[in-house]
Parts: sequence; structure tokens; C-alpha cells
Amino acid sequence: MLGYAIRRLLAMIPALAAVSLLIFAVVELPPGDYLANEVQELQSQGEGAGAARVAFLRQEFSFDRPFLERYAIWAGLWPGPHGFDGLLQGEWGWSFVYAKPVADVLGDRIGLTALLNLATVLLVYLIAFPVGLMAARRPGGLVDIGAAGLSYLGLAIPSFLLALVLLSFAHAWFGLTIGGLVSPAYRDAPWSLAKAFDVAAHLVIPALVIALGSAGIMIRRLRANLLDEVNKPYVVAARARGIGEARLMTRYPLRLAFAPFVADIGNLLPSLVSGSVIVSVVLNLQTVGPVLLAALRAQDTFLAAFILLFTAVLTLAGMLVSDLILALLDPRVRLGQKARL
Amino acid sequence: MAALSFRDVTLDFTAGRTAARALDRVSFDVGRGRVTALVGESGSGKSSLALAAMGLLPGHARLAGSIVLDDGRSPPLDLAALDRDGASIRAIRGGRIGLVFQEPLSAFSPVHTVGSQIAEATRAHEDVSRAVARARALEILRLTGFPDPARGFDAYPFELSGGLRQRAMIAAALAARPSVLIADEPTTALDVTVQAQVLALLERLKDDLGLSILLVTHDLGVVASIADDLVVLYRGRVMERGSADDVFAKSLHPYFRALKDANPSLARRQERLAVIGGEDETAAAARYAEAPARRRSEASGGRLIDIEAVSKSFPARRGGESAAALDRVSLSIARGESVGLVGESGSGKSTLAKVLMRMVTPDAGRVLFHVRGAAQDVAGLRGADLGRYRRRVAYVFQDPYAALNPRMSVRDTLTEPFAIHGVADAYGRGVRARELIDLVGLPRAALDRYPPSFSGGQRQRIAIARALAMRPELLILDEPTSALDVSVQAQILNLLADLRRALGFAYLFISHDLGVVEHVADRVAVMRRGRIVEEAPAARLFHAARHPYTQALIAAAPEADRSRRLDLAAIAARASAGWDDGGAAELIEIEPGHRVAMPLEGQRHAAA
Repeated sequence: MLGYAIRRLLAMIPALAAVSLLIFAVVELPPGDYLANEVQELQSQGEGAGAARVAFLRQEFSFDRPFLERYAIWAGLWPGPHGFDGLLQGEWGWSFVYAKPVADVLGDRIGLTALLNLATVLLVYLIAFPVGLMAARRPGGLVDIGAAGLSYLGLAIPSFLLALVLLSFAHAWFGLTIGGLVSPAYRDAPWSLAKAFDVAAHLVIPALVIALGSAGIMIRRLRANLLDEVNKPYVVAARARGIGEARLMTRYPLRLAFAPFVADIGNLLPSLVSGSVIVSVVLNLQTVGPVLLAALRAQDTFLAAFILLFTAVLTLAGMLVSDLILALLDPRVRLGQKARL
Repeated sequence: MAALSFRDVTLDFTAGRTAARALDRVSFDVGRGRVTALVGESGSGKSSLALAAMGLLPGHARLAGSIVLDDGRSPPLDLAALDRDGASIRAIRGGRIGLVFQEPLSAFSPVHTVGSQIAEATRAHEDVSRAVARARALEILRLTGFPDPARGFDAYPFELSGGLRQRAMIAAALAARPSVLIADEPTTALDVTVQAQVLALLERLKDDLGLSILLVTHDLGVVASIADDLVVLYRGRVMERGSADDVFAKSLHPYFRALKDANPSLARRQERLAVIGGEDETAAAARYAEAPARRRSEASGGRLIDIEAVSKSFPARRGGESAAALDRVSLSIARGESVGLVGESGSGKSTLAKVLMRMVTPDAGRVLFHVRGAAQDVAGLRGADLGRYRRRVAYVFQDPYAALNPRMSVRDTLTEPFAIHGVADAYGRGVRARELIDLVGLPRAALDRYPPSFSGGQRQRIAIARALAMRPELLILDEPTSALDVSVQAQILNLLADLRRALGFAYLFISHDLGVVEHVADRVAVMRRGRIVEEAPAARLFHAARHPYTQALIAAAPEADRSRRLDLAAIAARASAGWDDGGAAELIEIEPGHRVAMPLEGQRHAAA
């Protein structure tokens, strides 16, 4: 098992390298770059002096180098004008739009984004698991039909709309401040238990809103998986050995139906990150989503590339977690299909 | 004394307002300490009967009559009257009646160890500790013939061989010490030698544990070897019941006799097999007299295919050495000749067929195809030559359910080969489709229907018709009847014999069933672990086999004949002894046309 985990971790390295190259290429795909746009703007305003500064910046940030070299400098595999100062060295780059290092732009947002996504994934599973189970126990029953209706509703209602409605209720009933993940009182306060509690309270609504659509899909999936499993010969065989129904269900079909359910963690994360952008904008959440939107529009290369890479890392981590859980659940993954006896 | 007696058991499956009768007033007894065989073809209701006794019928099943369990452990108990979800039937399941399934791989959860699934049965019925349950499981694994019970306990089902898996299944059924064992086709998925071992095991367990066994099967060979009593079920009704000796000796019932005669036998080689119910189309092939003259003239005796020292190995999944699927296999097929290829699962038969179809490229050796006096290396064929080769060699798959596209009409299925090879216009294709459907004995109206509306046997006819579309010179049949009932198998085998007589093409007939191969083949090659160990004319092989493996196969093949029962004790002993052919790949010709791979010792022996 440990060997499997290590192998799986090592396999992430080439995946990350490939993804980072791809991201860098995609971000640079639109013609021109941030500085070229700025030059145009300065020239239209007739400011010659600014143009000279831009030329300096162009060299400073290696925009005059070929693509692969720029990538290597960004990644920290190749020395730039100031030696090695890329991702591998912990330098996240410079944001032109905010005129600050990327690290300062993002700051707390990274942690909050990870937190929001984690909370959402947990919520998806907390909702989908019991509901899916109950729906599968009595197909066509009250829970099944109710869950189906709710999931369609969750898919059909635009999430930002739902978010606003929920938020206004929450404000009216619980006195939660609208927008943001932190109350104004704690915005600049150092981390404390009270602040953490405040953040958690603010997390519930966005997490619920983002989770709802995914949870609907997951409920349907778990239900279908379970219904597939309950009629398999091995379940009948266990029943024929006199195993009680409750134990039978949890021990056999549930464990097997759980596998594809878990395998979805990896797929869930990226869709949550992209799906949460619009909710984050509407609710003014301090996540990386709105920043990514701004960075992409302004061709802020390093900022956009870094955020995308961060999303990719989240996804890979999710896949790693789901693979490890799968290996725990299913010996065939762990041992391969090799006969031992 | 009956451990289990079925009285007027009637079973209906309801769907909405309609009901289908699966069992109709079935009555018989399972005697204490005896093996009672319940025989019938698929759809006869025999498995439903087994499920009924266990209270495992689905919700829409309506059961009437009584199933009385009287094993001496409690007052007689009517199982049919118990609540299917209640505690009392749960105490019966596993505790008083054990159930063994046909396919042990799917009847075990793949994600739990074999041992945990066995011990669980013990703990479901007795309040014992984990350690005690484990000890009991180890004991029962030893009893069912596991060489290393502790290792078997911790193994996952997919890590075990088919035979061990079925032994584990039996162990799980016996873990809570039932008095009755219901075995539903327990050996159907197994190779013949393994089947014989499992039958020997059941017989031994019956004596050691005093079990009463209800053996559900379609195989009269198995019945003849092990059953004390016999019940024949046909379309939900009991046709015949009595002691096995009586039924085999003096049965007058036409259904039982037909079932017996439909079984291909090693002992009496016959021209045609008896068929039950369905039409027998001797005429169909006669209608197909217009075979092209070219084929006729070439059809006699000339060389067609030479397989020369072909080897192929597949890399092992992880670590370990690569497994040789084929090891220097040589085999020739003459024009119009029917060659049987026999071997157990994993012996490499299907890989050899795939090499012939050019779906697998051999690592070494070559396949020569003789056409108009010239030999072509099949591996080197390209473009039009390859297309021609593919027209000359056709393939029929084992599973007729999977081999036909359910969304293509039979007409489209049959004319597709013409479209692929760009042969004939629309009119010509229509004519050929009608010829082909006539040839395999199906009505022309079948052309406009779709595969799902046909039975297994009819589908196999369609698959054969498609294979014949391009008038091949070699037809490769990979277990074409092993998914079919005996009586349907008889029809298909007769059809194949007729077709060959009329059209004169060659067969490579692959099967694990010696009886079937003997029936259709002129010459038989026996494969074991990627090697051909013996090759001889069919008539000779079954009476003068020299290789110990061939002898073991023949000894283990059950016959539907009480006077030729399997010697289960000898088979069990042989299985534990094993043999080694010392890696001899060279076949020694001991008689004209009879070649044997002999261990070096044996060769010296033969020379001396």
C-alpha cells in the first residue's frame, strides 16, 4: 500500500510538468502580451518616455525570449535576468495588473479557495451519500423522487441567483454580513478561534450553493451504482449464507458502489473551481476566481498561469486522494490481477 | 427418509396482470445422505426451484405448494410457508441448507478475502468469536481440499484458480454446517479434469459430513457419474424421477432418451446426434448444391494451412516472468479437413486461432497459407492479398449473444461482409443473403428480424451464416456450442457436419469438450500450457492416447452412461500426483499420423 502511494505520488511529477507547460502555452496563446497592450495605450496617449520603461520591463520579464525559454524561466528551470527565480524557487512571479508580486495579490485567497473547495466537496459527499443510499433502498419511493426533483432543481437554478436568495435570508435571520468570507470586524484581525468560526459560518452558504448541482449528480450516480450491485450473484450468495440484510447491504454492495463514487473526487474539483468563479464574483468571496477572471482579461501572464496551475494542483491532489481511497477499498487496484495461488 | 421434499410446488412470475408459470406441481424428494440430481435445460425452472427452497425468489414470484425440510435437527418445517424476509428463513440459509453457485468468481465479492466471506457465514449462525470462526473456516478449507488453508483464507477470489474458487464456494456454503447442500451447476464453468475433482469432492463430503445433496445440472454425464436419484424437469414439469440406475436403464420417456442421445459421446461415435423438438435440416444443406466448381476441385486433400513452430508470449502484468501462450506450436490443416483443437482454459487454443486470424502477431515461427500451389506467409500479407486471405478464413465466436450486433437486422448482418469486401451489387447481395439463411436452416422471414428476437441456437446459426458469406476455405470455430444447451448443441453440430459435406471447406474446431471434438473432427490436437502434446486421428486418439495429459482428459470426460461412470477416486489421486513432460516440445511420431510429446525418460523407454 505504501509502495502504491509512493508510485502514485511520483507519477504526479511528470503530470504537473506537462500541465504547467500546457497552461503557460494557453495563457500566452492570445496574440501580444500585457506590455504590448500597455505600449499601445501609452503611444495613443503620446507618452514616449513610458515606452522606454516598457522596453526595460520587456527585458526584465524576458518577454523578448523564445517561448520555451520563457516557460523555463517561469518554472525556475533556467536562469532569468536575475538568476533562478521561478516557481521551483518559490517565486510566484509578478502581477502587472496589480503591480504587486503574485504572492501578495493572492495572499489569503489561496487558503480560502482551498478551504471553500474542500468544504464543498465534503458537503457534496455528506448530502449525496445518505440521500443516494436511501433513494436506492426504495427505488420509486418518497426519498428517491424527492431527491430526483431536488437535483433537477439544483441543476436548473443558476447558482449565483440561489446564492443571493439564500444570503438575503441568512442576513435577515442570522445576521450574517452579505458578501465576503469574513465579517468586516475580522477582516484585518489576526487569525483566532472567533475569526475561524466566523469564516466557517460564511462558508456554509457558498459551499451549499456550489455543492447543490454536483450533489444532485452524485446522488443519481450512487443510486444507479447501488441498484446495479444489489442484484449481483455475490450479494445473493451472501444472502444464501444467512447474512442479515443490514449487514449485507453495508458490507457488500455499498462498498463496491462506493468506488466509482470516490473516483469522482478528481473530476469534481475542477468543475467546482470553474463553477465557483461566478458565485465568488456575486458574493464577493475572497477566492482566486475573480482574480483569475481579471488576470485573463488583461493578459496578466504570470498571475493567470499561477492560478490555473494552482487549480491543476488541486485537481491532481483530489485524484491522488481518490486513488488512494480506491486502493483501500478494492484489493484489485492494490494487487493487480495476478494469481497468487 | 427425505431431507427435503417438494410437494406440488408451483411457481408463477407475475408481471402486471399477466403471470408466467415457471414450475408446475413439481414433487420429488431429496433423500437423506443421497445425491439427487435435478436435470433440465436452460429455462426448465431448475434454478428457480433451488432459490425457492432458500426463500431467495424475487418479490414478483408467487409460490404455492410445500417444501418440507426434515433433516432430523428439528420438527419438519415447511420452507415455502416462511416469510422470505424473516429471521426463521435466514436461519435456514447457510445454517441448514447451503447453496453453491455456478460461477464462483461472480458469487464471491471481489473486494473481500475468501476467508472473511466463509467465516462470516459461521458467525451469522453461531455466536462465536472471530478466532473460532477463523479456525472453523481453516478446517473447512482443508476439508474441501485447499493445499494451504491459511493462504487460501487470506486470498482474494481473483487470486485463486477456477477449481480452488469453486472449492472455496463449497466451503462457504458448508461453513455453518448445513445438512443439505444445493449445488446449482457447480461444475459447468470448470474444465473437465477440475470438474471431476470437484465431483469427487462432493461425493467425499457427502460421506464425511452426512450431507444430502441436490445437484442441479444440465449435464447427463455429471449425473451418471455421481447421482443416486434423478429428477428430470422439462418446462417446469417433472418428466421422470427415480433412482439413477432405474432411469438410465429403463427410461421410456422420450425426453430423457432424447437428452441422452443428444450428448456427444466418446464411447459411441455416431454420424448424427439426436435432436429434441426443433427441426433437423438435412435438407437445408442439400439445397445448397450450387457450390462453385473451383471449390469442389480444390476441396480434396491439398495443403491449406501450415502452422510452423509458432511461439507467442504475453508480458506478465507486473513483475514475474512473461507467460508463454504458445510454445513452438506446429499444426497443419489440409483442404476439406476437420481438425479439432482440445485443451483446458488457458492452454493457448484461442491464441492460436487469433494468430490464424492475424489478430495476434507471433513472436517466432510462421503461418503458411497455400493458394493455387503457392505458399504465402500470412504475416507478410498486405492490402489486397490480406483482404483475399480474410475472405478465405472465417471465424465463429463462442458467445452468439455477444457476437451479433443487436441493432443490425439479420439481412444487414449477412450482407455486411459483401459490403466490407466490395463484392456483388445490391441484388446479388440479397440473393446471397437468402441462400445463406436457407443454408443454416432458418426461415427467410428471419432476414428482417433482429438478433435479440432469436434463441441462442438460432443466433449461432446466423453467426455461422455470416461466416460462410465469403465462401471461406477454412472456418475457425472457437467453442461454438459451449454456450448452448445439449439439444441445441446437437442441432448445431449436425448442421456443421452437413455444411462441410456439402461445401467441402476445412474446420479448425476449438473446444474443451472431448465428446464434441470427437464428433466433428477427423484429426485432433491436444494442447496443454501452450504446447501441442498429442496429435492423432480422432478415432485413434480416444482409444489409444499415449500422453498422460490426454489420458487424464479422456478419463475425466463424463459420459451419459451409468455403466461408464467416472472413477472419481482415481481422478482425485491423479490430480494430486501431477506429471511433468520435461519441456519436450518435439513430437515423436509413434504411428502414422499419431504424434506425442514425450518426456525424455519416456522417449528412452519407447526406444528401449
